[in-house]
Amino acid sequence: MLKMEHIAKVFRTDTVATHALRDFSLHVKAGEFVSVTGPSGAGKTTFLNIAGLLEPFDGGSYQLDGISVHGLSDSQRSKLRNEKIGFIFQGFNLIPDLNIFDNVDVPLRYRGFGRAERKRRIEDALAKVGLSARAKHLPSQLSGGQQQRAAIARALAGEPAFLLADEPTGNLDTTMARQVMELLEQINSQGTTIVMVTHDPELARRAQRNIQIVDGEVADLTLRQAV
Amino acid sequence: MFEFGPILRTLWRNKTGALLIIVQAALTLGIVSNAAYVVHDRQQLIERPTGIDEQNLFTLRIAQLSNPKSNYQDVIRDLDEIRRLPGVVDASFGNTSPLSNSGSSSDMTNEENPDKPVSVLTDLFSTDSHGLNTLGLKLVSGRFFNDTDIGFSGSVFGNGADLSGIVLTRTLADALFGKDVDVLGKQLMGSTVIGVVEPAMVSYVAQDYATGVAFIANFVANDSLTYIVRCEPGQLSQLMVKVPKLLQKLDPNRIVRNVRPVTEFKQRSYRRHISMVKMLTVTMILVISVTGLGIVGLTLLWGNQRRRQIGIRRALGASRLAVMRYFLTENLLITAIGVVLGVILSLALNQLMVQHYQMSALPLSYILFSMLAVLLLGLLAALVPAWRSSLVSPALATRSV
Ligand SMILES: Nc1ncnc2c1ncn2[C@@H]1O[C@H](COP(=O)(O)OP(=O)(O)OP(=O)(O)O)[C@@H](O)[C@H]1O
Ligand SMILES: [Mg+2]
Repeated sequence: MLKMEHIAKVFRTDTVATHALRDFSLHVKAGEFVSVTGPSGAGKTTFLNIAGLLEPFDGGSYQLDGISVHGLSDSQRSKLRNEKIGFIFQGFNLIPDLNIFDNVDVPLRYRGFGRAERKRRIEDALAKVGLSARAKHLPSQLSGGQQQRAAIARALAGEPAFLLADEPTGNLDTTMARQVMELLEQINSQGTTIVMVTHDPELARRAQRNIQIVDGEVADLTLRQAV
Repeated sequence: MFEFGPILRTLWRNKTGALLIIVQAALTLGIVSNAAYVVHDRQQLIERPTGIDEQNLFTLRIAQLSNPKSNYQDVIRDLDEIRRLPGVVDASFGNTSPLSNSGSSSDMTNEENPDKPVSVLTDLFSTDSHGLNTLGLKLVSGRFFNDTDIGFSGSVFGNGADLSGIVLTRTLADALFGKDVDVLGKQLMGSTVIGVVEPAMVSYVAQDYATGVAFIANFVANDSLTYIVRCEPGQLSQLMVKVPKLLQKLDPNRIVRNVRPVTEFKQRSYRRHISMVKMLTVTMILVISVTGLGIVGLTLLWGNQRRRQIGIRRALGASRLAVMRYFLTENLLITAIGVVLGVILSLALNQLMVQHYQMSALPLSYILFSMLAVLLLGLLAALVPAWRSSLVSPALATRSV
C-alpha cells in the first residue's frame, strides 16, 4: 500500500536547514492499522504530509498503491489524493461556512460524482459516524467529538483505501477519544489501511503495529523489519 | 464541477463584503451604460459631416485704420491677389467665420399657402461668387452667384427684393417646401431661389438648424466681414503666414487680425460637448477602476482569510485549478447579481435623463455591452487574487491548528 525508501525532507529557511526526515524507509501493507509515535518535532507530521501527497520530498522514492508519486503534476497528485486518501486532522478542519452535509460533500465534488451518488455517499458516511441528525448543522454547532466524527465521515465518504490521521484524538477528552478510536478500528476492520499519529501510548498500543519516529528516522529497526 | 450551491450558501453567511461588490457592480453598470451612450451621442454630433472643406479653410478679418469700413473694390482686389498665391484653391468673403457658431440667423417663411405659412429658423450667410468653391459646397441644381449678383445692403439679409437671388441648402429647401420638391424659381422673403446645394453647416454647428442655410450675395462692410481662404491640402499653415503678409503689403494702413483655421472655430463651438465627453470618459474610467480595485481587494482579503480553508480543500483533493475556479465562480456569481440590479438602475437612470435632458431611450445594445463589460471586469479583477489563493500549500491543513 505504502512503500517509502530512503525519503529525505529538508525545510530550508534563510538561515537554517531542518532535516525533518532523513533516510526514512517504511512499508505499510494494505489493511494494516499502524500507529506512529515519537517526540514533538521528530517528523511525524512531515511523514504524514508526504504520505498524503501534501508536501513534496527531497530524496528517496515513494510508491502509493503501486504508483510512484515522484514527478506527478499538481492535478495528478490532487486526483490521487482525492481518490485514495482520506485525511483526519487534530483540529478537525471542517470548513466553518459549510454545514456538515456540505463539508462531507467537498471531496466528493472534486471526485466528480453526480448529485444522487454524492447524496447517497454523504448519508451513508454520516450514518456510519452517527451524525445523520446533524447534517444541516454548522461545525460550530457541534461538540468536538461530533466535529471529529463529521471529519471522519468526510474522509470516509470517498471510500479511500488509505486513511491518514494526525493526532485525531488530540483535542478530545478520554471518552470521546475512545469513541473515535473505536470508529477507526471499525473502519479498519472493513479493509481500510490506517496510519495514525498519536501521543497517547494506550491508543498507540491498540494498533496492530507501532512505529516510533525519532529525529526524522524510524527508531526501532526490529519493528520495521518485522513486517 | 462548479460549486454554485455551497458558494451561494457561503456567501449568504458573509453578506457584507459581497453586498459591497454587488452595489459597486450595479452602480458601475448603471453609470457606464448611460455615460457610454451620452458619449457616443455627443461624439456622433461632433463628428457629423459639416459638408464644407473645413480642414483646408482659414479665415481672417481686416481692421481699417483710416476708413472705418472696408471698401468693396479693396476687398475684390485683396481676394484676387490671395487667389493668385500658390497653394490657394479659392478665396471669398463672408459675413462670419464658418463653424464659429456666430452669424446671422432668422426665420425664413414660405408663404405659398397664405393660410399655412411654413417658418424655418435659418442661417443667413452672405458671400460672393467664389463662396461655392471656397467652402467646398456641392451644387445640386440651378446655379450659384456670379459677380454681377452682388448687392450692397446695409444688413446681412437687407431687403429681399434688392437681392438678385437666393441659394438654399437641400435641408432648408426640404424644410420649407417639402422633401425633394423642385424649388428653383420659388419666391422666398421677396427673393427668388436660384440654386440648391447639398446640406452643409456654415455659420453654425451643433444646433439643430445648422444645415439649414440660405446663401445670399450681399456685401456688408461691417466689422465682422471675413475673408475665407481655401488651401490645397497641407498648405494651410504656411498660407496662414503668407496671406496676412500679402494683405499688409497691399495696404499697410490696416491691421489683419483673427487669422485662424476653421477647425479651431469648430473645436470651440463644440467645447461644451467635448468637455462633456471628456468628463464622462474620466468618470467611466474612475468608476471602472474603483470597482475593479474593490473586487481585487475583496478577493485578496477573502483569499487571505480563507487560507486555511483552501489548504483543507487542497488536502481533500482540490487541484490548483479547482481553487481558482472556486474563487472565480464566487466572483462571477456576485458580479452577476450586481449586473442584474445594475440593469434596473441603468434603465431608471436613463428614464430620468429622458425626462430631464431630452436624451433618447438607452438602446438594448448598450445595456448588453455594459453587462458583458462588468462581468468581464469582475472576472479579470478576480484573476490574480484567485491565482494567488491557488498557490496555498495543502500542507497548511496539517501545519496550522
Ligand atoms: N514549513 C516548515 N518550515 C521549516 N521547518 C519546518 C516546517 N514544518 C516542519 N518543520 C520542522 O520539521 C521538523 C519536523 O516537524 P513535524 O511537524 O513533522 O514534527 P512532529 O513530529 O509532527 O511534531 P509534533 O508532535 O509537535 O506535531 C520540526 O523540527 C519542525 O520545526
Ligand atoms: Mg505534528
